[in-house]
Amino acid sequence: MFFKEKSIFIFIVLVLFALLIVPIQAGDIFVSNAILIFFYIAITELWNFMSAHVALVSLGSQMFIAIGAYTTAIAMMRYGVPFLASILLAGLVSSFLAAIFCFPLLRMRGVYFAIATLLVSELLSRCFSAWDYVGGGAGITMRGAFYVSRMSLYYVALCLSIISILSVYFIYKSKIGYALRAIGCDWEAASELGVDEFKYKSICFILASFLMGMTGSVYIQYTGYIDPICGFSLAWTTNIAFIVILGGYGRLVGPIIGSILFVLLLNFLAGYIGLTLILEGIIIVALLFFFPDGIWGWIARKRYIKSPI
Amino acid sequence: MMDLSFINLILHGIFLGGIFACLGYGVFMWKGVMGIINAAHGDFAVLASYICFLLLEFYGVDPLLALPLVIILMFTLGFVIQKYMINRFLPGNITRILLITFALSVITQNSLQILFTVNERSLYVSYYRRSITLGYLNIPLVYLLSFTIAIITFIILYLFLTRTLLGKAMRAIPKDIEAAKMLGINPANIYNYSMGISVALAGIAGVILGLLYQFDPFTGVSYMVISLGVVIIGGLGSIKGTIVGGIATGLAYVLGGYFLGPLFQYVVCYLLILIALIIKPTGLFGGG
Amino acid sequence: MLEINDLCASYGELQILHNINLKVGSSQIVALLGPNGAGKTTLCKVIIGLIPPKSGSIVFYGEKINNLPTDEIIRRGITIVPEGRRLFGNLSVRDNLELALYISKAERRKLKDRLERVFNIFPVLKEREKQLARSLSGGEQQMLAIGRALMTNPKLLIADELSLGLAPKIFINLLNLMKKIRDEGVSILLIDQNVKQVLEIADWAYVIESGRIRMEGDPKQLLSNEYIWKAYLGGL
Repeated sequence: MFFKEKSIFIFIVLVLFALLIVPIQAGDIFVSNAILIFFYIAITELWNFMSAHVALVSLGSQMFIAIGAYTTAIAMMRYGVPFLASILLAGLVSSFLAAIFCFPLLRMRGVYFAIATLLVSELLSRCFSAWDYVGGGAGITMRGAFYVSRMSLYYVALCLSIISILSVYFIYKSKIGYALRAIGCDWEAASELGVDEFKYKSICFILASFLMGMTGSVYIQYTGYIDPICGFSLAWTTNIAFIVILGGYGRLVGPIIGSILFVLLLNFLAGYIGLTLILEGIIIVALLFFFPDGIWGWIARKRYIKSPI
Repeated sequence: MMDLSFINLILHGIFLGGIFACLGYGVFMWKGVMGIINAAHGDFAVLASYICFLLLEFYGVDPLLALPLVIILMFTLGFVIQKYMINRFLPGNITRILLITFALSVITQNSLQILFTVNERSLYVSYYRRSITLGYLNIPLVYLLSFTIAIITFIILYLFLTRTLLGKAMRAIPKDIEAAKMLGINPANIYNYSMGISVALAGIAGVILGLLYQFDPFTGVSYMVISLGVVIIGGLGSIKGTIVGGIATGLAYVLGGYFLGPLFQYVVCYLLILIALIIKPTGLFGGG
Repeated sequence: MLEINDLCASYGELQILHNINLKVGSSQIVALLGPNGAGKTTLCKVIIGLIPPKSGSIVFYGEKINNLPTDEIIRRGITIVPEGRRLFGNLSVRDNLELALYISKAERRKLKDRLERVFNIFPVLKEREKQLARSLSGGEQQMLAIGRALMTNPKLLIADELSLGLAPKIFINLLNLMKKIRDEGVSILLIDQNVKQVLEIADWAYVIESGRIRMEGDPKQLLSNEYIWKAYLGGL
């Protein structure tokens, strides 16, 4: 057992080392794709945890990404805030909003919570369309001078994805994670044992939104454009659900596998966004029928890996 | 002297409410009878709109004539989906069903986008745009037609649920599924018909909304939100509550647009639904 | 006509019924007595087809019925009055009765006759025909539940805990009605905790405890058997 853990540890260190060094020599395509992969890992890790272990399925997560993107764009272009500070700001604004939303949203459970998150996301979308400060329906386009280099973006995205993975790992093992999983399994029993459901769910929700807000910065730098339609689009949730279900529902490694495969799929079907989503939908249905645990879940079953994460 | 345009506005809200209620009836069938969430409900409504659009543009078929065909097609779609894709995960596993219907929603939206592009469409029949004068008011014929269909749908649905044995079984099962099984009733069979009816109802709503408003492949999301709102406000106790919910939503939509401008139509409407959801998710008027 | 042979049944891993042997003859009232948790309701569910037995068989009029679906079992002539009535409160008395005929289109045509028969046995139900089931009193609800079970003209009626929540007087009235029903040719498997009254009208009795049949015999003999009272039925 000890040997096995040690070899996994060495493996991870080698991979990290490679990820740090390779981009210097690698071509543009590799770096761009890598940014996307890290980006999606960062988004999906926490969604995966919340959905599978805390029974909080959010259909409106895209609002935090969008808000993060808007914040970064506005902060950098109108207030001259440097990029790294903008990232932090994006996270803070998102989590601030999440903190406000906690009160109405987290009183609901299950499907009601899911619907409510969707509702709030749609509501924000409409509000942003009518709000001049954020550019209304036209949105915001990043101007040339404010772009950061792809390399910098690579390392930022890499950091965010590592933070995500570590967050989920440590939350899972911590007292908070224990409480959250109890809530996810049987909230009534958890309440009777004295677990403050609202408090723990809020912590989780705010943390997740903080990370997603930060990823919004990566998004705006990568695509250079945000508007209410694409920023709050349901396609985000579709992609997240696809990655999570494909890679391994509830598993730490799941979103990693899922993100890699997803970005590969995007490359294959480049330019046919509609087709990509249809294919995702079909694959999601097929997975839910036959492989609800996803790829890593299936592997774990085959190799009798006991760890639930 | 009463402000005629305000009366017009209220009437508009009520008419729209009756039509919104139509979206809610379908929700009642899957949430009230089966306890599941069909994330593709709004998209099925839009699908029906597009089918009518196709028939109108290429074959010149009047949407109201195409309605019976649409109803049959939608019913079959719902029946088949329930039988082969949803029943196997019942009872329990509501999240998985949510995700499956979500995937269906995505597939529908994007297929429509590929087939019809994102351009907005509508079911435009010039004859219907003529106005009928009732006293002081001018009401476009299309409003009266849509509203009439919505009312007829309600009446037929109400009679179905209260007078037919299948309808009674649909009302009985959510109250005590084991008792139903002890009577030899097979819930899965009933669920097939429930879902068929639900999607057919969504289809009707889609057609009559398509006559009034423009739609695009992604309008389904708005329809879904409104459907849920109607049921949340009106409660799942009975479909009578759904009418109340529909009218409340319709008025919010119309009044919101009037006082705050067209961009805020949805905002006021959604806010109302959100507030209702927060206060009492099982419905303000009914035993959920 | 009903023979249960060595029936074993489980809820998942937990075995509830162990080698149950029980018989019910034509036009008989057979009592099944026992304390809470003895497995009485589980036995009902197995007979009616909601729970598959682990082993053993149930034979009805010479045919094995243990793995048939519920609607088929009902068509063969066994119905159940479930514990706690299990009515559909949001539907009217008439609707509750009508739903009993859901299983067969042929039966539905006979709705009027069946309703008449039930209303003859329970006139109170005719008075309350259009009322919602949940607005009825406890005794009336129990009558509705029995009436519902009679709608399909069963040959065997299983009545689980009729006395639950009922005033003793009303329960005794119901038991007299049970006798009437038996005299019309319907056998009744009467399951209850209320020992004395049930034994007074039964033709045969079984005692079940912890999922096993502990005793069977002539009700009059069991009535006077003190050992049974103490050991299995917890005193009077």
